[in-house]
Amino acid sequence: MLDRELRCYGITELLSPYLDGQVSEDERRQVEEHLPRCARCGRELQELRVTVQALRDLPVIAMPRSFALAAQPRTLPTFFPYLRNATFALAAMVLTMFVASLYVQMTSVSSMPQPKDAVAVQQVESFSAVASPTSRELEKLDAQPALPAPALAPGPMSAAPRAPSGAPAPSAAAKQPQDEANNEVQKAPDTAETGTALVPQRATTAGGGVSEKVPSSGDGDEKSAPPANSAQQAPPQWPLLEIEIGAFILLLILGGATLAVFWKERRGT
Amino acid sequence: MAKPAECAASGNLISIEEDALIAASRKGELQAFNSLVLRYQGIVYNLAYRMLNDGETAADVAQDTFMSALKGINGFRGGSFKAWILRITSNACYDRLRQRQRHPTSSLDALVDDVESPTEFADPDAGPEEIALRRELMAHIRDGLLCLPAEQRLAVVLSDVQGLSYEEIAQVANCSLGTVKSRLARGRARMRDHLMRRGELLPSRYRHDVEG
Repeated sequence: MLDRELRCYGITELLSPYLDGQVSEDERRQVEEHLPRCARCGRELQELRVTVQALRDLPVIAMPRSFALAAQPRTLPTFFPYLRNATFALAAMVLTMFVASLYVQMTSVSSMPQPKDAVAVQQVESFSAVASPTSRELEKLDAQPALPAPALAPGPMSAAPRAPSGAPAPSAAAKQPQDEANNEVQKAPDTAETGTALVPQRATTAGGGVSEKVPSSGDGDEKSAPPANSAQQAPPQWPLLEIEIGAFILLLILGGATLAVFWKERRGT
Repeated sequence: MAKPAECAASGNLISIEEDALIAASRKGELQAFNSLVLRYQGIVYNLAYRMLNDGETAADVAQDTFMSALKGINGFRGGSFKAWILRITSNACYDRLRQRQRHPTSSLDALVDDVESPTEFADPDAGPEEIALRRELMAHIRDGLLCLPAEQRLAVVLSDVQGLSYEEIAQVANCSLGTVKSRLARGRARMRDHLMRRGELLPSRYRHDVEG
């Protein structure tokens, strides 16, 4: 009896692998010799078989979702957010600069009738030089020399030191052209108000002005005067434009890089 | 357990294709890796579900498994990818089980909540009574699995629920074939005892087997 129990003990250990065919030839023979003689072990094997069958019959659980890795954000390089943000920031900057420069140009045009006329004129001139000059402005520029030129005749640039003493004369002379200019304005009302209004005024101050500019603008050679002033006046505008262009090119490069990185990852996934 | 010849041939084809996918995944091609995910997500999720008995946690484990598999794909040194991915899964399951032991309250909710939908195993000509019976049997088997020590549960689930070979189980559990045999034998014996305690739940064909 004890011997039989011991034998069963050895056999029950083998029943599970026996069921799977995972026993050696020797073990298999042991089990198969034992089973017909031992009802208990036979029943145990049968129950084991049922258990395994019940486990196999367990349903496959449906997944709540797919576990495929949702790629793009995860595999984008870590610097991508910086690149993207930099692009947006630069875009905002370029836009702001563009709007700001537009605004500056608009306001400088509208503020031209103010006494800062000489500056204003130069701004208009440099503006018209930067932007394509409109026919209106060209007209104005052509008209300009004709009016003040005769009156503001006297000295060339070298006359600068004389300026204070020579001032009264040109100012007296300038009144004539101013009248003429006013007449001119009335004659040609279709030209831009700001532009045309400005020209005579400039002539006035240029003629009657006390500043160092008087001699140069009082100079008969109108053509030499504007370039001299525009050389002084242009710098504030030109670098700005250069920065704008530079920023825009940088924006193109950054934006291109951002899109390239993004697109590559999109394609890659 | 031996597969028919044609099955083995298609298995070879699958493994060749799989090697290519693994190689591509190593180069960082997510699409290739996701093909592997699609191939194994069912078995990974089901193992996690059977180990943890909670769909929500099992889904987390499955997601974690694939994420760490992607990270560690270069550490995969050939052999069975299935065994490798299931090993990651089983380790993640062990971690969760340890967490549960530390905070035992959360697992009780899962036990109550998570009743398998009867549609999953309904067969068309089963009456409502039979469906109810089956459902109860499923719950009973599930409880039995939960009572097993984790290592035995892993062996039983891999072998009997998912049909892995002893060799594969040894790779997953990182143990010897002898250990697999004994864990499986003990786990099955426990399951048998548990099941026979409510033998009336067993379908008639099972009972016939037992009586016969």
